[in-house]
Amino acid sequence: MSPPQLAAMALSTPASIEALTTAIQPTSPGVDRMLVVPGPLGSVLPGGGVRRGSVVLLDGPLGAGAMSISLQFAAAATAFGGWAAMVDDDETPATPAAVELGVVLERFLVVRHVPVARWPTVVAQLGDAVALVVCRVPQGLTLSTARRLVARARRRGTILVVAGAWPGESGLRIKVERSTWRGQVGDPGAPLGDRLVHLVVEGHGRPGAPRSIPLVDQHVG
Amino acid sequence: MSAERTERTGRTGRTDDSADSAVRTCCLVCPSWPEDDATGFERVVRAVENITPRLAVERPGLLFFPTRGPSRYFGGDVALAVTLIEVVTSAEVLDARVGIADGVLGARLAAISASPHPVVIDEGGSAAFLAGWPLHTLVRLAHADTEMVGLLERLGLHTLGAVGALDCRSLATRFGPEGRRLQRLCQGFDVAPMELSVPTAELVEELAFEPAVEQAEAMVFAARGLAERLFDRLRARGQACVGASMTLEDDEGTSLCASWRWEQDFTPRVLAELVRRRLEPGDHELPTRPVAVVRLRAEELAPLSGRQGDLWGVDYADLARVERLAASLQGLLGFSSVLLGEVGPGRTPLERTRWIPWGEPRGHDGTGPRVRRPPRPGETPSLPGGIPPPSPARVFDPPLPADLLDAGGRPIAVSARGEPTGAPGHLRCRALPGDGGSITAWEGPWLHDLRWWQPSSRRRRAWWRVIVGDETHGIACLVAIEHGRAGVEAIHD
Repeated sequence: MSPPQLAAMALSTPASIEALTTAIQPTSPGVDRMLVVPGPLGSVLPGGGVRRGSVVLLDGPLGAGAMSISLQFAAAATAFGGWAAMVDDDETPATPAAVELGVVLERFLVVRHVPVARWPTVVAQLGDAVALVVCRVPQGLTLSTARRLVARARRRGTILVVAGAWPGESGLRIKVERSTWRGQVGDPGAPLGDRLVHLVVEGHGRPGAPRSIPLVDQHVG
Repeated sequence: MSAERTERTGRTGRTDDSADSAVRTCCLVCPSWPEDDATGFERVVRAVENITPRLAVERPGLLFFPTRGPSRYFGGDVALAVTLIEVVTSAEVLDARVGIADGVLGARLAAISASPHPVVIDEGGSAAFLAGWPLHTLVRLAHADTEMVGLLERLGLHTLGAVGALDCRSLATRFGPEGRRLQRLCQGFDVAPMELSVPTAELVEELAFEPAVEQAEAMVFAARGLAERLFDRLRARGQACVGASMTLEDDEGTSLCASWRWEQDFTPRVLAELVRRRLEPGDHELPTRPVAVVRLRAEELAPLSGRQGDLWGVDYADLARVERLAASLQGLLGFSSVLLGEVGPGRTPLERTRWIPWGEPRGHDGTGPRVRRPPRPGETPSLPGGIPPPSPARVFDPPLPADLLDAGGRPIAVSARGEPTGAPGHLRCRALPGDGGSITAWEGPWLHDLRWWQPSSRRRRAWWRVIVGDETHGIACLVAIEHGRAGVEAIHD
């Protein structure tokens, strides 16, 4: 029996094996500076993850799957004892989906009712304490404020996953375009099939190419 | 299949309530014990563990245990109760109340009426003892539904005895399983067995290999997972491990043991590292044959100080930073602006989504250790009529106004008997891109009829999961119809 099979038995979340293997290997600086994202999402990211201290732009229309993707980033950040946070402006994230996607809720801080004027302070403070912050850019965020946030995140090694019109620089740009539901589409009344999320990943010198990834439910898959 | 399931639930300490039984139980109540002081109560639990190793702690300040063994040992229930009071008094609990009766509820009520001398209800006398207590006692002590109890009281059934004396099928037919549960409680039966902590069984985690393995790497991987589960379970009991042992059994049954003590910051990661070092060649014995079983056992425990590492060894500086941050943000934005999530009971994603202000106790979440208390009615993870996963990532409270139309453009309604008037064909909703569109696939309906016995609070809803769009571009939503009005309650975003 090979070690990965064993890990699958010993750990309840098989999709995180990849991350586990990386996490327990002697940490080389290169690995340490990377947040490894497990599963299909990691496979479409350059290097299998996100550089710590960088900004990820993540956006998409309602229903395309952007919220699920940001929850998968939070899952990667909370998997091995780390913390993640979300500035939740519309009070819609659902906890059952977060758990199914692998988020450890006890280390996932959600902040609401953030006035626009306080937004930069709150994001900066969150970034000082947790490994990854998911947020949406408020109206009127200036370039200089964005640059200060980028500098602070880089210093602290925090990943900012940002939706909306980000004026500053960014490492990765992920555009979640749409979802398709495979299987029983067109067959009314039957259980819905698997879901494919179509997205474009650009950045780190790679041109964007459309990719499709299955949305993995860690507890089932 | 069903026998298999019964066996499995039996092992974890929860069974179907079909067996008529009332275990002779002792209850200890410490009325002034602060509910959040679990660590301090651990001292009391240990003192009581000198009397009996098997006990069920419901919350700090309240525990139960079956009296059969200890009572024989101390020479009767009265002697046991007196000994228990002495023991907990020496553990600095000055207002302990002890009651012994048949069944958990009887013991609890006996303890409540004890002061300061223990109350022991004779064997077989529990039903008579219970009969006089008012029915609303069950609301607080047995998580009974307030409205159902209210309804029974309006029907003239004011005491446990009155409800217990009803024909056994009448409550079950009228109120379903919850009615049956209440009646059995009133009759003095235990509706769920006590969840006893059995130290020896609980402190072991093992993994069997089939076939046996030779690589040390594989054993370390296994040990890591086992350590994680073991520490997680201890944490649920409010305990930390300061000493552990590992046993490797080879395919011929020969075993090899190693044990360690680790005072500070013992985490699964540390334990796995110790296992790895132990399996490296050195001046100690190594397994000579393939290993078939890896077993970890917590040998020494200490109360959880709240600073022990998490699964993979949380950086304490991290936790301290997050605590400071949360407090400061609560000061800046308001107490209920900084939240942690949990998955609550319920049938729909909206019902199950809960965000709890930082610092408030969280009941149960889908990820962490289960809180040790009997499940309340309706708290089972999968309720009948529950909407199956995958769960939508966004929920809307209140639901987004929408129109669910059939293929002919008529709004879909649900009849009093729960039959929809048509199949979903079109969804109109301002919040969706393109204001909605035609439905290419759907699943459902799930019909919920809640509190059907209470006309004023009865809720009837029908749910569909629909996909709006086409084969290349689909948006999946959960649509609910209630009182003839449709609403999008959740979107798979």
